[in-house]
Amino acid sequence: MKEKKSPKSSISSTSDGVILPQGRMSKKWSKRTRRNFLTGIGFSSLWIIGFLAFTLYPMAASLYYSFTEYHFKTAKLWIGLANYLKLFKDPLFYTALGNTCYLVVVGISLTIVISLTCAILLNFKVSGQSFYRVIYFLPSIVPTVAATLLFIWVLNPNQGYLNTLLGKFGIYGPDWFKDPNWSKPGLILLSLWGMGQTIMIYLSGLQDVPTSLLEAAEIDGANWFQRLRYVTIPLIAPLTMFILIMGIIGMFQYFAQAYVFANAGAVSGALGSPLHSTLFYSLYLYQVGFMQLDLGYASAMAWVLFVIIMVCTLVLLRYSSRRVYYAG
Amino acid sequence: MDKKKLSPAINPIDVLDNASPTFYNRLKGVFKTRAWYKGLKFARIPFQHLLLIIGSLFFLLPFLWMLSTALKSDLDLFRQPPTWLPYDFKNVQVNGKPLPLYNVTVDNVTRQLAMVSMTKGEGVFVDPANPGVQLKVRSKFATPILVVSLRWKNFADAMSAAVNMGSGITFLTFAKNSLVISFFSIIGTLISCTTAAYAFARIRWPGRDILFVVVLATMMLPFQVTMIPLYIFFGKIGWINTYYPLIVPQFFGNAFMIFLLRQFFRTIPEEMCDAARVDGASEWQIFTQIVLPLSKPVLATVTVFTFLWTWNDFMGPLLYLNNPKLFTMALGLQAFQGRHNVAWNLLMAASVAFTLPIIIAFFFAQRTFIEGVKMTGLKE
Repeated sequence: MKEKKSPKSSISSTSDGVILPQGRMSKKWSKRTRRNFLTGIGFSSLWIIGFLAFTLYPMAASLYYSFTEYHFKTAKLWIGLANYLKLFKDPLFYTALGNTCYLVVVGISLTIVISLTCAILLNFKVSGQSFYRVIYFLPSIVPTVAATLLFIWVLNPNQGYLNTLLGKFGIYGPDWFKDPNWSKPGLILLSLWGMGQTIMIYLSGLQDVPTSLLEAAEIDGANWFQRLRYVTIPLIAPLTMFILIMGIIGMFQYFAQAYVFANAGAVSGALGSPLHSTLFYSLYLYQVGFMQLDLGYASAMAWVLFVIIMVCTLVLLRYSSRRVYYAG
Repeated sequence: MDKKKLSPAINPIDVLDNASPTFYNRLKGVFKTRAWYKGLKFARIPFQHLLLIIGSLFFLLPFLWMLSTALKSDLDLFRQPPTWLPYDFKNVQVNGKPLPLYNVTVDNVTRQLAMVSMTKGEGVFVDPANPGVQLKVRSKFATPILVVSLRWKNFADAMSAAVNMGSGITFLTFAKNSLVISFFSIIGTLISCTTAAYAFARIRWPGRDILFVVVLATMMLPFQVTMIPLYIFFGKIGWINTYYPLIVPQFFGNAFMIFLLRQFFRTIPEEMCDAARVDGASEWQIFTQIVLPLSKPVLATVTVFTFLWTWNDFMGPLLYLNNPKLFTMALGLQAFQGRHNVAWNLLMAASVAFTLPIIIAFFFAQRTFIEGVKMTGLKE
């Protein structure tokens, strides 16, 4: 009896506990609740300290920096919203945002379509599937820098095998990372190569689709495509939503690949080369913050990034709560 | 018939269906026969294998290209058109020295001669059987004899290749650094995340649910927001160019891992913990003696993924480490590429060496990897 009551009372006292001073709080809580509270705090103390020191404090500090003119060694000078206003007039900001949006829209939609296709292939009832699954998954655990270097070499306009292969079909391959129009598709190809994790998520989703539903649809005369379109895809929609949200959060922070990539094609070696075509948001932020040492401006960029990610996530979550069916 | 009642408009397909035997109807008939279905069923499995193999090529070929390049000689690297197999000169011993063998055509007679030296447009050749006589031939009459040869030496060369001339810093240094950081990160994550996850999963305390929402919310926070103040903070306490900024935060929890562990701890029957509590066990005893021993699979997942993330991390080391002596594999590889832009064989050999520990870990703990992916989702 007592046990069942205690969580309820503890929840009601939680909201009080935040406001009330220690003395009254301890009077209101039972001895047991107080002991649990101390144990709970004790067990999570490392995380709480970490949260305060490595998350909450830096967040507050960076919000403060974003309203200041701050160049590393100089004193911080309060300039109000000037950084944000400067940002909205900065052409490179729009370039970086546009490049990132390209990656988000084209990259994520291709990832979703192709990885679902691969998951369907890997879900066939044929022998040797575990072997195929390893092959499809393996590229995703190749370290980012190694994978990027590999693709720079694969996409090498003259010596790379992709253009050689295209040449065999009579196609004159593009210059990839030396051509501003083809550098982003090159990076998308790289991210598609490493999409094994998404494939595995989809595969586990496909395996969880109840066969009874598929059989029922088959008896009703639905063909293969109709079963996929009207049974399977709606049932795995929560996974698609998850992949979409994680993909957007990831793509807005896309950094290492672009950093290494720029090094390869560049004559100048400047970040985002050629012609700012791979200047993504995080890369531009890094450039402003750690190369131009304009820390206030970079902090403002970081907060704009955070707001974009939050808005995207919340919009998607809202949409999914209305449109996506969550079983169970 | 029913269809017609439902749709008032005339459907062209229905019109065709009901027309007297036409070519169209006969064609449709073919697809409905038993033989067709049987054929489909028979062709299904090879067809599915075909699709799977086409997909595999996309994922496998870059790997093979990496391996092939890692085993090529410098000359072979830029041969046009590029070949899949690594080729090298066929060498022959002449007076105890290995010399490359050439097909040399003199007076319409082709002989296999060893090249001693090559100057502009002209080469000096000797007959391996008769090394006393030297022969000068225009180089356009000589073509090298190539044989498939795997140059395993590239791996040793890559590992011992200095990133800065004369600094003595090699890939072995980077590998050691990466291992040190990974090791301490794993220890830190295991300590801080298991305890926090236990507090969120198995102890009922006021404020728990609010704090757990905070844990989940931090997963959405981009690193870019906290990056600059953290850099300044670590700079002030003198931690730039040390491993502390990469290791110490791991000892203070990671939202993804806490979430993962909490979900697992919640599947452990509460009755077991309660029974231990009745017997007078402290929370710490329950945690260390009941919960942790039952969570070995998820602890393996946390270990593997922390290793994967730290081994892979590029931005953290890029920010905090400037001294090449301290570089991790990821950073070292990038720096190496910046300096030796054309040594792709060494670069790929180093990349293979960089990837190998993870591939080995994968084959040892395949199930852990796949389960972990399903639970945590995507990397980065």
